[in-house]
Amino acid sequence: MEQQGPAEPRVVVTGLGMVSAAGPDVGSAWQLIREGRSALAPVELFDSAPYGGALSGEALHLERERGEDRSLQLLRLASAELLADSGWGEEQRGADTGVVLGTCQGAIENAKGIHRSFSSRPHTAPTSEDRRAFAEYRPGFGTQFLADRLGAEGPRSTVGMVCVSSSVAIIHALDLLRRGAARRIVAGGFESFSQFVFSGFHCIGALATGRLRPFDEQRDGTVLGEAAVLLTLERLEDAEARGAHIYAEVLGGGYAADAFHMTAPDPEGGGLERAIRHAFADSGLGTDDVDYVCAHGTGTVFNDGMECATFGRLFAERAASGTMPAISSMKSVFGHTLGAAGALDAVASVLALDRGMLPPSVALEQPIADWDFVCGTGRDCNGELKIALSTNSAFGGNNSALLLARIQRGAQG
Amino acid sequence: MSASRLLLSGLGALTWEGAGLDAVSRALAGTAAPFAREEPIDGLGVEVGRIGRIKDPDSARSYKRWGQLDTYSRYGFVAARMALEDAGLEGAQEDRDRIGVLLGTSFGCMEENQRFDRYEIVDGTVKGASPLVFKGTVDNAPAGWIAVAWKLRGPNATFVSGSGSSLEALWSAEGLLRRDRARALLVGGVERFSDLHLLLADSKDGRHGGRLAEGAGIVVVEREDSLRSRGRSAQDAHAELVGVARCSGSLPAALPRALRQLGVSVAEVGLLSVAMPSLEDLPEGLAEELAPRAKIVAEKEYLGESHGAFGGLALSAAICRLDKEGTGWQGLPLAVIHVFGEARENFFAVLRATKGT
Repeated sequence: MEQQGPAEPRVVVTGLGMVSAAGPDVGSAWQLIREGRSALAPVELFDSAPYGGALSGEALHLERERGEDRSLQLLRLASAELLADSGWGEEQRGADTGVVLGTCQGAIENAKGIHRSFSSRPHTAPTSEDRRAFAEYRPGFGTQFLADRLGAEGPRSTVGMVCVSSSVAIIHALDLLRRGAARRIVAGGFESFSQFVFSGFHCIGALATGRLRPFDEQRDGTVLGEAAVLLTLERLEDAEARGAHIYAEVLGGGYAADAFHMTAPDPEGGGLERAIRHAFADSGLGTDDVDYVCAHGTGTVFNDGMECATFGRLFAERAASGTMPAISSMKSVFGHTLGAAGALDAVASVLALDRGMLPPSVALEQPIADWDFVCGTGRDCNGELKIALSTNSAFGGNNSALLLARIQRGAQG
Repeated sequence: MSASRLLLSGLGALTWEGAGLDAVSRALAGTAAPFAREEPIDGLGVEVGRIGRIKDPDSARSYKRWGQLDTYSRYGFVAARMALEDAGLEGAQEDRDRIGVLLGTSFGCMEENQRFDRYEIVDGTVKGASPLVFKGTVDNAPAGWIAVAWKLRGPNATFVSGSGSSLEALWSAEGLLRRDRARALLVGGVERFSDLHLLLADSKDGRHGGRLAEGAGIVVVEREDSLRSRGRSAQDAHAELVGVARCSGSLPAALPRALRQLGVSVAEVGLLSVAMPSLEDLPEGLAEELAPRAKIVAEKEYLGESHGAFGGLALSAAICRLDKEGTGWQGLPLAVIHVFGEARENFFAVLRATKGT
């Protein structure tokens, strides 16, 4: 594989927006990460008793709007924070601005009505409300919705790859910026908590019976959450010219398939390793450069085991020399937000770099044997944290890796 | 960026008329059977017109997990198998870490979603939600199954960006191949229409329209150095992929910019395939302005509106329209395939004939 140095133009993160179970903004999310607390709580959206499942990462602070699909509500609120944080205004609207989002099921909650009404009898003729629900249900609708709100008339792309959707969206956005198809892009992902996906995870036995405990010996499943997570990406030169706060630089990314099974990961993590090696080739970095890994860490036996095998092999020399990078997962704070998970992990990594703090794996009590480098408690590390690797894996055998760097303060002039 | 040329070394197409390039040719010649009239959801009595439905493709039943595949994935699977066989890669054992799959779709797994939703919770009781059906409720199911079946461990992605999705996949694939992240990629689109789609979608709005038709169009795009390593040459390929451009604006404004981006001259263009429902939708006089020496075609007239699959099928249709000698279109070396992206975006793929080069 051809190894390349950092590509031009350099791309940086200048704004963040996030609505999650932790609260309505990035600040509340970071506070929970810092304090090592979990936002997971009993399911409220529906009666979960028949499933035997108990917890969810619902944004309970947010009242459900009548009519508007929950996923679009999350997206709308996150975009308001994003615009304020990035300082984007009229000048950033137009054909040079794109939107690239990832989602797993998009507006699935409102689709439930049309699923049910046309699956049962007697049928009634479709109403205008049915047609609207269907239009919003198309996977690419959320991207249109957001782009229209932002006045972004450039490329509009949507990635549908389940749990790697939004990390691949960020990688795709990087490609668009490097190849000159856009000058600035809003990238990220969104997902609402739904009974539909909950049922699916239940029927494949992937839900936790109690707490979500990534990389813990006692882990037994995941907890589903919801979020909309957005980042503004633009050229370093543009960000510097307008005096924007630069959170981090996006150095590169990669994605690859397991080609093993549709729902179970390759136990050896071959696909994840290939995705990471693609990201290294894209950025000109190697295993020695990584200070922190924000892992997928869903809390399922298979996923976390696969990640341990992958990171153990990839960083074997560093483990032997006692310089293994710290690893943690955000899932025990926010739940598994599926289509938003990659962007959420990217934002956690960006904040870790920007604020110089290693995020903990909340609820970690008994690390998997020989895995004491998974950090159960956070710690301030200021200048030590320079490069973060954010990884995700998904149904379909998809894997992604994203490399982010702390920006030298001097580089901002 | 690597200098190796990119070549279309394999083609796979599945349409309402059947599988393969012969079926595409029959559709383009207007000799295919007419679309069938369809009434979705028994007893509702709602007229949805004539639809280009694919009959359940059985050409891949020999695959041991065929029974596990949802219909949407089966469409992609059949087209992928044809493309791999055509490229001579189906049995290749080496270097599968560097062969990947990039697909597009507009509506993805909606049919499986509806199926799954019927069986989840009813009256507070779990009614037997099926893990097998749940497996199909992801838009990346076809790309996943294709990777699993042929152990294609390279880059794998699925775009759900509306009708431009398959050429968006091609745009991404071009970048990956030129950066040498893969030696060959299966690229294209898949579309299966659910009852809900037929009942509730207003497909005649905006820039799209025409008769709905399901489809899967997948090509193998391969680096020339990979092709040579297999003892083949560029002349064995169907065409060279000069590149993919994405430009916003109206078609007349966007096409010249796209050609400039790709460094090709309109005087070399012998075929312009536009994503209009029919040529009647092209304003009078525009044809002469856009590509004065080219034959302009609207393949949706023949293949139908297959949304996310259309770009992939239009690539195969352009190859079907190559001159008999294979040396060009109207004696000229370039073909331009256009599809509409989201909102005001357009994608243009430019192919160059490889015979005689």
